[in-house]
Amino acid sequence: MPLSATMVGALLGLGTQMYSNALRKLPYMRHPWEHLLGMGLGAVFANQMVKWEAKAQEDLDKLLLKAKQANERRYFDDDED
Amino acid sequence: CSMIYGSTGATHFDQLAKILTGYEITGARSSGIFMGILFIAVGFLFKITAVPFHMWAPDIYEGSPTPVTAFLSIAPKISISANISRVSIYGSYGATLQQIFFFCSIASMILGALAAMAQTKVKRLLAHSSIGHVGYIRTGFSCGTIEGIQSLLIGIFIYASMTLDAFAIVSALRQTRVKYIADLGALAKTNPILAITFSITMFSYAGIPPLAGFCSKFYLFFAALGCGAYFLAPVGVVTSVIGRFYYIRLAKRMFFDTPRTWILYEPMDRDKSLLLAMTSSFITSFFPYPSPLFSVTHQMALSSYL
Repeated sequence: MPLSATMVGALLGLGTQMYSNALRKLPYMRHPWEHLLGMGLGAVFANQMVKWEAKAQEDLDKLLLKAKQANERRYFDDDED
Repeated sequence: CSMIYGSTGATHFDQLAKILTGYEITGARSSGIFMGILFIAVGFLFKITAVPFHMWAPDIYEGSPTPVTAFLSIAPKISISANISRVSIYGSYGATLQQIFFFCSIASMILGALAAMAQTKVKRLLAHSSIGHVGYIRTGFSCGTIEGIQSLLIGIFIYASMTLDAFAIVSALRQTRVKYIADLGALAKTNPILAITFSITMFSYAGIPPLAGFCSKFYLFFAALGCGAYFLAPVGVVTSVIGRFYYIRLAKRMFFDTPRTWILYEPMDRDKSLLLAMTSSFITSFFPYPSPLFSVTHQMALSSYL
């Protein structure tokens, strides 16, 4: 999973930098160090996104459980709050 | 706000929620409360250019510098949507407000689709397009359900990235004095990548899969159907189809028409090209991996109800 996220992120970063060069009508590989930077940033971004998504899903599951318990308390236990 | 305070004596959302919940059926009706809620809603709708308070938008969007127009198209929509969700869902949601927002959503969608067809200038077209999109986004809020708020948040996020993309392109084209839609003729010959980027953005606005705009509309209309708004969702679908006419017309102009006057290409600066590349990448790559946005918006919507 981390390997595929790294690869996808690197490809995305490389593609973005090449796209940016193409928009300016420059050769796609002009300033290749910028492509390396894009690949690195893309890989970091993708890995962080995967980690963040896992954390967000955990927090969402906790929140859904809390909402379910609050609803059960309100409708089954006749809690006024 | 002062009318609501005058009628209820409360400003805190918790107290307002207790006073205003079901006020239409408990007999505690007050014209002050009704007028206060109406004025607050009208003020918010003015800022987000919802119909029938949209008149100012096309002229201001056209006359302002492009970065200012981009800011006006994006920032108020985000901030007012957050504000209106807090004030209305938490404080004063009821049949009155829901009917107002239903009407404004339907009217915005219809007017955005029909009025944009007659536009000849690029910025005015984008202004009417944003009026239509406000209608779609209001659909999510009108539902009053968790799925509705989630779809509103997804819609706002995707709308912001599409609008950033569109106005970055307009800003790049302004350097070459492009003002009218007719000036876009043969952009595909002078700058094909920019023409492809613009086309992708327009197709995303139109809601064509597998771009991000399709996901946002899909979720909005599903939320509307889920809350029982069986008239709102088909109106949204029909106006989307009508709206495709002017979005695809732009692509047709760029790829197949000859311009009245040939516009010479001027180089774009790096910041704009990077911004365009990043937003276009988001629009095209959102469809295979939407789960982070869906999880976080679900969390945000749930937390406003708990």
